[in-house]
Amino acid sequence: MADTFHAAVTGLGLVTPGGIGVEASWRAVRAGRPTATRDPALAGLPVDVTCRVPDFDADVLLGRRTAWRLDRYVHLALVAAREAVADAGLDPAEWDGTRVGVVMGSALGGVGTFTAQHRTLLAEGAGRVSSLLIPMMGVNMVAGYLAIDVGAHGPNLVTTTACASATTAIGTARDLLRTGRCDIVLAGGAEAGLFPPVVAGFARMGALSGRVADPAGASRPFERDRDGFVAAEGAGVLVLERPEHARARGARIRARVSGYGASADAHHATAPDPTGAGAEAAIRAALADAGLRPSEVDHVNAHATSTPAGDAAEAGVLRRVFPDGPAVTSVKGVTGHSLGAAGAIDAACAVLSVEGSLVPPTANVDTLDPALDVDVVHGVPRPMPVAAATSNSFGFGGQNAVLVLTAN
Amino acid sequence: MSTTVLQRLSEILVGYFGVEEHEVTPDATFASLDLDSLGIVEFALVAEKEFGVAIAEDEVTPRARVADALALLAAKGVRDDG
Repeated sequence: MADTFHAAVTGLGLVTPGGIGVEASWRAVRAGRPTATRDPALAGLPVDVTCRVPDFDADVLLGRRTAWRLDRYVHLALVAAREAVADAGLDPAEWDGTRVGVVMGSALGGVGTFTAQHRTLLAEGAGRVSSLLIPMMGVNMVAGYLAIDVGAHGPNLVTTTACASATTAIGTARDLLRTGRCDIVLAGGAEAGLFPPVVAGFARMGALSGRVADPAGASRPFERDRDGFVAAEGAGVLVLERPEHARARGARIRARVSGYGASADAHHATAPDPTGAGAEAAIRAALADAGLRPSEVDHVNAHATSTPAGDAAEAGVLRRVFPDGPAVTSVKGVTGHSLGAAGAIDAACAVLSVEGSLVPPTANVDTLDPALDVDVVHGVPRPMPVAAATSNSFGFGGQNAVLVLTAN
Repeated sequence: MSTTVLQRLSEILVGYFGVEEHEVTPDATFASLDLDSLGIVEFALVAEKEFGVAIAEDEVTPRARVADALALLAAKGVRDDG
């Protein structure tokens, strides 16, 4: 299709429970190595299993002078963004910052700062609440701080569509490039919500795996005995560019974002529409945007978070949309579910699959759920050409967002 | 061993606010230590806890120097130990 717009992916940055950096993260995902553990910070909660970024010390990585005034979700994002910009071979000292945008996703923003300051308010009074509370907790602030860090003066915003937030951000960023508003957009997501009220709230919904005696096995997307997701933290940033801009500067194009589709279930606050109509509409819209037929999709990086209903609904949609059975995987068996960051981590992994012709395995799949009937890669990674992949995200609120990634 | 008020102030600026120790001189303004209008409020909060005195929001500003803060603390009865 002549008018398909292919945003060039020229840089990647990841901070995930698999490790700090793309290499460490991808190594963990490729190996199908689960990262979930019992979490001492949540001791006493009925569910205290999470996936945290290992050995993340913001004072060391960013410097105390920068780190003290930022929430952890911004810490994670800054480290990922710096990696992505460097990976793209860009020097913020040299670019025209007015042409550089930032679109990040986050579901919860600086909720850790909020919970800590709320304790201070109750214990010590209003006069002891930090003057930094508001700029630390604001869900918009991650994009603002990224812009400050790299000198990006173009459009700057945060998209918040729950677990689809980062996917919405990447799709929105592509639109900014397509319309010519920007030459470069840093796009992705960041989340650091592993605090007792948040995790307790998810647990009370029945959304979390209760497998506290076997934390490494708790996140098991598409597996017969899955019983909920494992909450995670992380950040992912993609450098997207107008293809002409990327080519003109001789940038390495790792893959392309060639389609984006979004929809709403308009069905229920948190339960997926069992018919999958909204998810299906988003996938079909993304394929139409990319000018691809379903049979041309080799790989699906699924949303699949390891919940019984969510994985089943997604599998049903995949069977319907993709009769040829693309290779499906969910990295959340390794990383857990990082909510508003998940879409960026998934999309980055899909980029790496396209680039490296390798689909990573879904971790912890001992026995595939026989009711699902999709080709889930598990056990070992599957080497295969990936000319086109979708990266799916389906959020609470029935908010659905899907990207199509293609080989350059 | 005695600890001076300047040493305790320096420990706050270095330990909490990530300033380099050599930057903490009497003539350094808080703005030069990256403590802007929001940062200075946080500084006052941390200093209140460290020194056990009340510091009003308008008593320190980003334009104030480290020496001004020392004078303010002295006026509030904070003395060198030992």
